[in-house]
Amino acid sequence: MSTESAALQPDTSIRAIGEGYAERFGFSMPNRSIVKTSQGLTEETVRVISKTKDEPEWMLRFRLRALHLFQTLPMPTWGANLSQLEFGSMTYYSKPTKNAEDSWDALPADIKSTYERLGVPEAERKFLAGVGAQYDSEMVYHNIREDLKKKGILFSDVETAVREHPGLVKRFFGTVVPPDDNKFAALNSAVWSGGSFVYVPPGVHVDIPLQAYFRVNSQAFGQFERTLIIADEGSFVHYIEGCTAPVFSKDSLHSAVVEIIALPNSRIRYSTVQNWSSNMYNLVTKRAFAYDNAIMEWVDGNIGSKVTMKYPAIFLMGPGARGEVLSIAFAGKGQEQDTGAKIFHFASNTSSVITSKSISKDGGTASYRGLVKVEAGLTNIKSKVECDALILDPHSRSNTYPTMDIRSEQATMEHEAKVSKISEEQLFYLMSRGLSEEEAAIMIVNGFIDPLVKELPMEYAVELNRLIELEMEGSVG
Amino acid sequence: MSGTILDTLKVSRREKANDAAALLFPADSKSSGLKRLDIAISSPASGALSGAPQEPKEPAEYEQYREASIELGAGAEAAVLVRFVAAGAASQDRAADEPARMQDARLARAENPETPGSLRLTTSLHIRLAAHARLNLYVLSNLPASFSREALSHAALSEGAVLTWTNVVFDEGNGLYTTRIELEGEGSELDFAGAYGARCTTEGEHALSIHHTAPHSKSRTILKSALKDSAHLAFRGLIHVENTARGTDAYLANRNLVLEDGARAESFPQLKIETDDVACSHGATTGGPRQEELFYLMSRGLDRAAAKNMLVLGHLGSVLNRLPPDLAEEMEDIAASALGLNAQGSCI
Repeated sequence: MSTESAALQPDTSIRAIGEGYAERFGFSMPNRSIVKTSQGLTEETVRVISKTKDEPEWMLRFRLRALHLFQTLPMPTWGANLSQLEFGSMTYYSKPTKNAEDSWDALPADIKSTYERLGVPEAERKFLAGVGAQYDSEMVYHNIREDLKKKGILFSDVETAVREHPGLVKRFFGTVVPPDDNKFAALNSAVWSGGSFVYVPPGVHVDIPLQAYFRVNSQAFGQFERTLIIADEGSFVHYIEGCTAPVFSKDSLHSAVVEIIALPNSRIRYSTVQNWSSNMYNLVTKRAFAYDNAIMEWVDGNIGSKVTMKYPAIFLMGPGARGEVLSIAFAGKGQEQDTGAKIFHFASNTSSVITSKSISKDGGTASYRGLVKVEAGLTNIKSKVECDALILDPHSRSNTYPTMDIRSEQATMEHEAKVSKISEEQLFYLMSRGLSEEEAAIMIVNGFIDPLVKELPMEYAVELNRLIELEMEGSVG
Repeated sequence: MSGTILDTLKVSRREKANDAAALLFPADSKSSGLKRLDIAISSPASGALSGAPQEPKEPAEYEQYREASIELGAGAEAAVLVRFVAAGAASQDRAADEPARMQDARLARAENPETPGSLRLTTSLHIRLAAHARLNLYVLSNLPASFSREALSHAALSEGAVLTWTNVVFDEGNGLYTTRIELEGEGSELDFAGAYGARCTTEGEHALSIHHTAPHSKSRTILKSALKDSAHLAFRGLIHVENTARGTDAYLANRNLVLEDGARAESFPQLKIETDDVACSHGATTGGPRQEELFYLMSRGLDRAAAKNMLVLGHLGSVLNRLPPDLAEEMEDIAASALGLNAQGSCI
């Protein structure tokens, strides 16, 4: 995400950026990858990826088993329309550089300039504890502040972790999201590449966020990063991811798996600002295990992509654990945002909150799909789900599909959802104070998403607000 | 989803039973008082099964089909009570021991929900309200455990029609209750309140879909349930606002009281909204009796079970109290026995 945000310079803001995405994020660089698999997915593809990464035998076996699962598991029969997704014409692996660097200057000029245009190095200097940058299939850059490194925090790509910390990886990899979880988890497990590995030692608090930025440069490409975050007892970490891609006519696929383990008394916050281009299928499996008294928070902003299906999940495994999901989806022209959250209460004295906001306009479809499940025999369970949707024009749609499955007498579960348009009264009031209709509408929308935005670090909040303004451009009147 | 329900209704019509009941209120008629429509269900005890219309084949010999329709002409006003009554099967003293036959039925059902040991019953209720008609409808059902039931209800509301519907179900057997209400006239209004109670291994699925196809229609829908032992409720509620239904105001609520660990409430409230000028919302809550409330009642001298029972009746009360007073009282008693609140009826 760029920090040289136009919102900081209002004169250039709304109208000047007008066409928006194409100029700011939609550019592409010539493809200079050094290893690239041919189109389509076969056992050969998987073996090439594994060989290029010089992986241990157990990981290759893991991949091949997952490939078999991918080929046998059915496509989801619900949710967004995925019939146009062509697995056969996609490229599954493209390695842009030889190694991951820890200095921006060591990167090839194209790649460096891409990230500079996106504002990543600047953000790192200003407010991040560590940054990872993935370009197509590989992390090209990974760096963490020296003082944090000394405290024993591990922050690298997963490949490095497989080499250097096989014990930790083997213990947790694939345990939160097993390959047979769903077709796309299987796909990711077979061809995963890149992503972040984070380990925070007991009692260590990482006060400023770690960030990963995912960039797809190639056309008809599949990005399959795999992230594994482990917060040891009593630790805290905030991890942020951002993502963009060039605008191409051919569809691309982003299918990540994110596994999170919050050990007792730890807290993890995972924030996403997803801004893929409108030719991207974003089909992601994200799940966290929260043990005794741990806190897991997903903050999830979905603005871009053609189709997103993403339901960050929290398994509350130990007593006193708490889960929170804050999610916002923006569905514009031709977009389908099928997002939500899942919470499983497996222990007593656990609580969860889901807050979901969606905005649909220009014929876009925003759906909330969620699940809260409470097993029998548990005591003192509390769960609250709130979904608000705004529809900005008569051609757009909003759906709400929550599921609640409660088997315990000592549980309290509340769910509320409402769908409405921008209220005439609010518009009228703001216009009577001298705002134009468009400004008033943007102000109302920004107010609507405020509960989520204020949970993001300031720079991201500004960026998200600005993106929404961009998307709102010309939507009223 | 909509197609399926309507198709079922069509098929059902073809196999029409002998005793279809119909009530017709002509245009502008103002019917005073409550019109009763009792739907008699035969049970083997009364020996009436032999008269069932279906051909004697497995398991059809146990199937029964009952149909009723209520139609109001333009501007008509009426209040109707529809009651499903099992002839001779249910003993009046419901707290008494269950007949051995019903125990058998329960046992058999636990193994296979469609076993011929339970009697299959399909009921279908059609309601049509012409322009500006007003109907106050009460539908009550407490069939014994020997029946497993599929209940189809369908209502269509024309311009300015108002339907107030109170639906109370304490069937002891398994049930699939499908209700589809179409607000197809401009400015039509629905106020639906349902109560459901179940215990032992009873499974009930309530699918309620409210379709708004005309502008400025309004719906209020609520289902309240109380579940004991290992009863299982699945609630599927849908508000569907089509693109033509601008100005829709709709609310759907589901409130479930899970009285014991092992009882289970699943809730799937859904919104499908295809236009912007709407105010649609739903709410779902599921939980056990509130500890503070239990504590309060117990501090006033009630034992835990009595306090819990009082909370159950309080929970369902907002629906039951929509009934005329004598009926409300009767249904409270039925609720108490259906949920085993008085005598500790044990599950077999």
